[in-house]
Amino acid sequence: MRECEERTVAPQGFPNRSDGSMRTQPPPGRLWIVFGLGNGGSDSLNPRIPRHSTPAVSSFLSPEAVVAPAGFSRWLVPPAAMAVHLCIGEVYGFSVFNEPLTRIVGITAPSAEMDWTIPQVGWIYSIALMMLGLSAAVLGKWVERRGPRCAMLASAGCFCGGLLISALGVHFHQLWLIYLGYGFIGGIGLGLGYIAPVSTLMKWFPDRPGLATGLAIMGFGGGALVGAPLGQELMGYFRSTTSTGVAETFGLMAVAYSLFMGFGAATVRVPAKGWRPEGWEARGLAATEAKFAVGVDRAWTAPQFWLLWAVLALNVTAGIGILGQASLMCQDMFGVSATVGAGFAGLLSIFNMGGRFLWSSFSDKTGRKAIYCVYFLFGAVLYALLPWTQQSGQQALFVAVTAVIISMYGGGFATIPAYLRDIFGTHQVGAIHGRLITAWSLAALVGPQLVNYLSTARKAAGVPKAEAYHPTLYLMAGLLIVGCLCNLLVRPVDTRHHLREGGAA
Amino acid sequence: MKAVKLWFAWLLVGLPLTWGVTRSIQKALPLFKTSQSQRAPSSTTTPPNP
Repeated sequence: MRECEERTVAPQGFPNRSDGSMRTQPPPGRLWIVFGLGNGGSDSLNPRIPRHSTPAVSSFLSPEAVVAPAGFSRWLVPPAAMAVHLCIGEVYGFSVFNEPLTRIVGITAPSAEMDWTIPQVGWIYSIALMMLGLSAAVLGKWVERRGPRCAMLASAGCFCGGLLISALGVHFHQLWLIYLGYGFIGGIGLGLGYIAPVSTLMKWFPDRPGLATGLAIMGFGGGALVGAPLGQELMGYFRSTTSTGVAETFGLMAVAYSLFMGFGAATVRVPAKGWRPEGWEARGLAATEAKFAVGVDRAWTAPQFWLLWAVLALNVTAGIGILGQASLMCQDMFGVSATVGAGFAGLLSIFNMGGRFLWSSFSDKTGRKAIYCVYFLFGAVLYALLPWTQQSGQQALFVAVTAVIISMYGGGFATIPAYLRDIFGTHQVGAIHGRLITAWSLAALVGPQLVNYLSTARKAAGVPKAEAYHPTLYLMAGLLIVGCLCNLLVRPVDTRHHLREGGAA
Repeated sequence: MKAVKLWFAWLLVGLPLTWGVTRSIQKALPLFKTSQSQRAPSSTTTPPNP
C-alpha cells in the first residue's frame, strides 16, 4: 500500500469550477516552470508536509510536485499525454527506415557483402514492440508509484536516448547498437510512455474516461502519421553521396522528440485527492468503482484480467491482419497500382487514429462491454463481407468496410483502459494496463506472421492472388467471434480481490 | 492566461497531427482517382501502421 500512503500527501479536496479547474489561488513565490504551463510543486498546499521538508520533497520529479496547483485546468492534461504518445507512436512508422538501412554502405544500392538485409533490420521493430509489452508489464507499478511526470521523462530518456544510440549504430555500421538502442532501450521508453498518462487521465475525467484515454491513445495512432513522413523528409534533406541520411535523421528526431516529450512531462498533473469535476456525482458503475480497488498483483490472478487480455489480443490480431497487409491486399484483390495501395494504407491510418477517439468517447455512453460487442460482432460481419466485395468488384465498398473495421480496431485499443478501470478501479489501473499490453505485444508479433503465412501458402498453392486472402478474412471474423465470447464472460471482480483498509486484499 | 496556455498546448500537438493527417490524405488521393487500367505488380511494401 505504498501507493496509498503516498497519495495521502496530496492536498485534500479543492473547490472547483464547472470546467474542472480549481478555484484556490496558487501559492505565492512559485516559479512557473518549463513553457510556463506548470507549477514547481504543490507540497506547500498540503498541511501534512512539514515546511522544513519542502526543498527536499518538492523536487521537480517527486510525485508531490505533480499534484495540480490551484487554477489548473484538466484540459491541459490530454495535450500533455498526446505530446508523449505522438512521439512514441513513431515506432509504427519505423518501416520507412527499413530500406535505407539496407544500403548504409552501398548508399545508392545495397552492398551484398557489407549491408544488412531486410530480415535483419526487421528485428529492430520486433525487439522494440516486445520490449514495449515487457516494460509496461514489469514497470507498471513503478509508474504508478513515481507518478506520470517521472515516467514520462524516463520514457523520453529511453526513447530519445535509444534514437541517439541508433544514430551511432548507423554511423559505425553496428547493427547490435541499433538493436540495443531503438529496440531494447527505446522499447522500454515505449512501454513507459504508453502507460504513463493513462491512469492520470482517468482520474481527471471520471465523468468521461473513454474520451480521456481515447485522446491519449489517438496520439499513439497519430504518431506514425507524423513520424513516417517526418523521417522521409529528414532523410531526403540529409541524403548525400556519402550518407543515406538515416543517422542524422535519428539524431535530429531524438532532439525534437525529447523537447516535445519534455513539454508533456512538464505540463502533466495529477488531481488532488478527492477532487472531482464540479456538478458531477458518481452514479451507477462509477459509484461502485469508487468503493473498491483491486491491486495489480490481485488483478493479475482474477479471471477478468485474462478475459480482457484475450479480448485485446484477439482485437489486435484481427486488426493487424488487415493493417499490416493493407497495401498488398488492396493490390492483390483489386489489381490496383502500388501507389493506390499505399494511399489505401494511409487512409486506414487516419481511420485507425480517428476510431481511437470516437469509439472510445462513445463507450462513455454505451458502456464498455456493449461497445466491445459492437467491435466484435459488427467487425466479424464486416470481415465476412470483404471477400464478397472482391468477388463483385466493389472497390469503394471494400475501402469503406475496411476503414470501419480499422476504426473499431483503434477503438478497441483506446477503450481498454476505461474497461480496466470499470472492472478493477483506478487504484493501480496504469499498472494493470501495463500488464495487459503484453497481449498487444504478442498479437502484434504473431498476427502479421499468421496472415502472411496463410496468404503466401494459398498463392503458392496456385490460388489466384485476388482470392488468396479469403480464408484469412474468414479466420479474422472467427477470431472476433471468440473475442466477443470472452467479452461476454467478463463479470465484476469477486470481492475477495478488493483492497481493504490497510492495503490487504 | 489559462486560455492562452490551453491554446498553446493544444496547438502544439494539433499542428503536427494536422500535418500528418494532411500528408496521409494526399497519399490516399490516388485511391479515389483509380481506374481498372492501373494494374501493377504488387511487390512494394508499405509502412505497417498497426
